[in-house]
Amino acid sequence: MSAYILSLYVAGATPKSELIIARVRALCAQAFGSDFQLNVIDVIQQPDVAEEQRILATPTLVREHPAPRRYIIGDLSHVEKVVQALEMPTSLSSNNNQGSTLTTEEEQPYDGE
Amino acid sequence: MTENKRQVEKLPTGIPGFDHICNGGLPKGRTTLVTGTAGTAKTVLACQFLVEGIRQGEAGVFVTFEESVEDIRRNMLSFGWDIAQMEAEGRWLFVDAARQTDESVVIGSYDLTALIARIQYAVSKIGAQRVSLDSLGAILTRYTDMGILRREMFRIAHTLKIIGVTTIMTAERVEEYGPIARYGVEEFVADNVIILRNVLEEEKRRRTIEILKFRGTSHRKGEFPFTIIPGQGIVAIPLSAIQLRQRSSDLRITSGSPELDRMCGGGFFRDSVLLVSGATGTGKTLMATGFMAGGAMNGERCLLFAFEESRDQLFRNAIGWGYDFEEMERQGLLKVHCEYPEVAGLEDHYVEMKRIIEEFRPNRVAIDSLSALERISTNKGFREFVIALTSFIKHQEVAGLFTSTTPTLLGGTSITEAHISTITDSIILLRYVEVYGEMRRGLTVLKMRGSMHDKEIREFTIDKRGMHIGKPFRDISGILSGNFTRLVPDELSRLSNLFKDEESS
Repeated sequence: MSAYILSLYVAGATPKSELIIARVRALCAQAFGSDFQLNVIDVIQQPDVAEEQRILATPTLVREHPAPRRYIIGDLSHVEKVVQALEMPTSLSSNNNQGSTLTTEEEQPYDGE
Repeated sequence: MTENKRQVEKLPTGIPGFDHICNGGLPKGRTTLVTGTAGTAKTVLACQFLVEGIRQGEAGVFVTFEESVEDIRRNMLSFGWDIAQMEAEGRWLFVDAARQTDESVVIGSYDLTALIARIQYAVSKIGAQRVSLDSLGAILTRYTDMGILRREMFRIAHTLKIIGVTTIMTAERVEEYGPIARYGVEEFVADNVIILRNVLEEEKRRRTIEILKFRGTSHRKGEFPFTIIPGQGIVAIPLSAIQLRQRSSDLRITSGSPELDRMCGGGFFRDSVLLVSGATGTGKTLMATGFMAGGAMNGERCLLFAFEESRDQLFRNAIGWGYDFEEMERQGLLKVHCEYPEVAGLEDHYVEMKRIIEEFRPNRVAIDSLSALERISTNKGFREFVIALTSFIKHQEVAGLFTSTTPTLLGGTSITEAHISTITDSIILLRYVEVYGEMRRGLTVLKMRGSMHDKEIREFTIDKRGMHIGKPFRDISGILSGNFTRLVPDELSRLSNLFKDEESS
């Protein structure tokens, strides 16, 4: 079993979804190397899974393993916060250049919490 | 009254009284926002909407943002709604969107597509026609971006409209008479807005329901009282929605006193409501007792609501006047329902009385006294109660006799009279008359709709055989106001000549 298991809930096969999937993959690859598993769930295709897992918002990234379970809602436009929330290895958060390349050009830090 | 066919179709909710206020039900296929402060029974309404639907064969989806599914199942059991059973039968489905204990953070923008997909999934899974979302406030506190939420709520409402379900959304308010909903965005989402209130008025709680808007269709305006009954849920009392359409009959029935019948031009009308007003001890209970006995003697079913005296007292009194209540009860012709006004709210009394009337199906109903119920309500609440009850009784085509106690010994009127004198068909006044230092009793028929009646103020006495009406008080004036003036014979004849013409009109 991988050290990290994550689930990503997206809405439909849209460019937006493609973008967030790519973003999470890149982020994970950078942080965990190959030692992770990412399950992508399209809530339009699999509403039953969303129901079972009680997901409301898309996109939602769930860290299933290691415990405790963590939910990150939103398009992850603020990389440091993602790293922090998922308690990823800190090597990434020091590497700011890498982080910004993951985000898109119209990135706007989300500051409402 | 049927609406134009092209207009918005209504979905009868099945909630007692509510459909009356809505002019037929909730606008079908649309979203109705139900707002109210804490404790106004929003969740009960949201649940009852589904329960009544399920009773009519329409499945329902309940989306909870606030209370846990387990809590809702448990809380609603007290209304006799076995949600777990309905779930097992595939008629009720929860979408559990209550707050999770797991930690979550928001980074970047998002939407609620997952929730919408889940609702759609649930609706199609059981073929639901009704959806309740309870409550929006809980989701608005969880996510802070109002812009996103407003957009998402529109999407939810829009999606529900497209899939053709009729929806209730609940939302909190802060004040009873203030902004429609806490966050100021909720009301723009829905086509229709209903406000539930639980107002403290003169130290009494009063629950009301008001339809603020129904887009493109009609509804009753103003606040209507409602009550929450264990085993039943919300029961709305649609006062002005009651139409005065009852048939009226010219069939006469006895008042229980041949002399009084004569004064009334041959008895009361069969489906009229009569008010007997007088100070304490003037013989109101006797009138009610006689009215019951008179009916029972003719084989009519009689129902007496007593709010002042106990059963034992009433039966003993009746024996004292020569009426055997026990025997009448044994024959199934009489039912006496005694209760202290304070045991319940006025709305609850109304619902209970209505139930008893519907169950017993009486020909006659007496309430002794109606004014005792004034104590437990506000003026406004009492007026609504009296109007609703009177209309209901008239609709049942039964004869009603209400008694009302005037607050002063001499003269005077009571609040009860002020409220109902115009909707009662007849009014009989009982008054004390002071004659040479002695208290006597006087009776007059003040009004008798649709009939000639005696206009004198007559003396009446009470003995072992009930009441006896005697001669008019000829030489005293000012009885009704309590300011007596003794008239000398000269003056009397002069006065009677003076008013001769008007008298006969």
